[in-house]
Amino acid sequence: MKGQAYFNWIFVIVIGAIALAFFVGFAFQYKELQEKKTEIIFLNSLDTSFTNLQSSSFSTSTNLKLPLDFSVRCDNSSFSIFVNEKHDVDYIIASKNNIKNNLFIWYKPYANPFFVTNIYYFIDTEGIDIVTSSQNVRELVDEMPENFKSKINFDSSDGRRVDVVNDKLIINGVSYDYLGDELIYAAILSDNYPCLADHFKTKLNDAVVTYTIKSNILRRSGCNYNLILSEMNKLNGFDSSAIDRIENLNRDLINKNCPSLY
Amino acid sequence: MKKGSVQLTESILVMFFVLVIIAISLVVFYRFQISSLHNYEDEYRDKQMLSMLMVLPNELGYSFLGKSENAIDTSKLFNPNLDYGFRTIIVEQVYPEFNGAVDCTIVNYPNCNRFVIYDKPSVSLKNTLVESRPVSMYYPLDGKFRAGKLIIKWYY
Repeated sequence: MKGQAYFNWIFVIVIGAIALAFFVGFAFQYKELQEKKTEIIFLNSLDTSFTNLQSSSFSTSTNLKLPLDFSVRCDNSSFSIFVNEKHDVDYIIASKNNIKNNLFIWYKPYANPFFVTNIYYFIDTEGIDIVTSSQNVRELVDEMPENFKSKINFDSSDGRRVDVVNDKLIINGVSYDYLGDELIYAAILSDNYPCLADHFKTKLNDAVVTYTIKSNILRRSGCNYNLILSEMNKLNGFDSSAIDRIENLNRDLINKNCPSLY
Repeated sequence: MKKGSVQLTESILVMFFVLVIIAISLVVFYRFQISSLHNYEDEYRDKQMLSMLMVLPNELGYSFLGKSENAIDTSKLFNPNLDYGFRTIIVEQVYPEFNGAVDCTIVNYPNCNRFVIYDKPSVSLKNTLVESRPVSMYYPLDGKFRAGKLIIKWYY
């Protein structure tokens, strides 16, 4: 009789322990599964927003209520969005490292003077503190979409210092080359401008390679594209004075009944 | 006393079977959830593919003085430096019809009808998702537009 009671107790304890381990394990697995599901739903919405914004050839913006906080990372290979795990994206993203609550996305195609890439600018409800003494930077912020402009705070003294002096972009005292207002916006909104500029240079170089190959084909029409190509190559060194010359040379080609390069 | 002990054993066994039934239900429920997660993943992959189909013609697009003209510029399809991961991207001319498939190179352009823009298949990835959409193709040497199809194969 006593042996039976012992057996019952041992049985209950062993089964209870197994059941407890099972339910705790299930709870953890289920939580992980739900997080993954939410992450995919979020990435899906983000991708939809990217595509919708890109369907316009103009600068457009939208906002997204975030089910999860996420971070934007930039390394040598690509930009990535990190929620619970890393998801590489094919886009150039100018953003703070960590985005919380509400995401505002602004899209601007970089076409200066020819299309190079799309740039996405991110900001969240918290906004960004910027210190500047450049009127140029303040004017550019004024031209941003309303939901971005209102989140850039110039009053704080401990924000990122962004100035434009003599065609150089100066971020926290370090001088960088830049090409176009799009990169000044990137310097304002991105926590990692050097990495963004490297990716931009790669895209710009790809575009120049594409147009070099195109010009080799167009030469069959008897036109000479050497001048415009040499100016395009100067863009790789962020020589902004080449932009006007490229535009003029492309117009000259059209006036000579040659196929336009871009 | 003996009757009480039997009843206790019975109760323990009933509890045990109830627990087993709950555990089986949870396992089944979890499997359904995993299957639903896979559906979300497939949906996400489909959407990424459609996004790429929508966006790629802009990136390879024909522009006049920098203004997009909603067509793929065929002379811009020879850049070897592209990187789209494990994918194959093809643009095929469908009208006017061409005799057989002739892959385009810089040398035989424009007397060809199939541009393999990017081709990076994977040995380890066994599944392939294929999507296509009609596109307009622009040939700058003669200034003519032709009808084509943009095909993307995604290995996963």
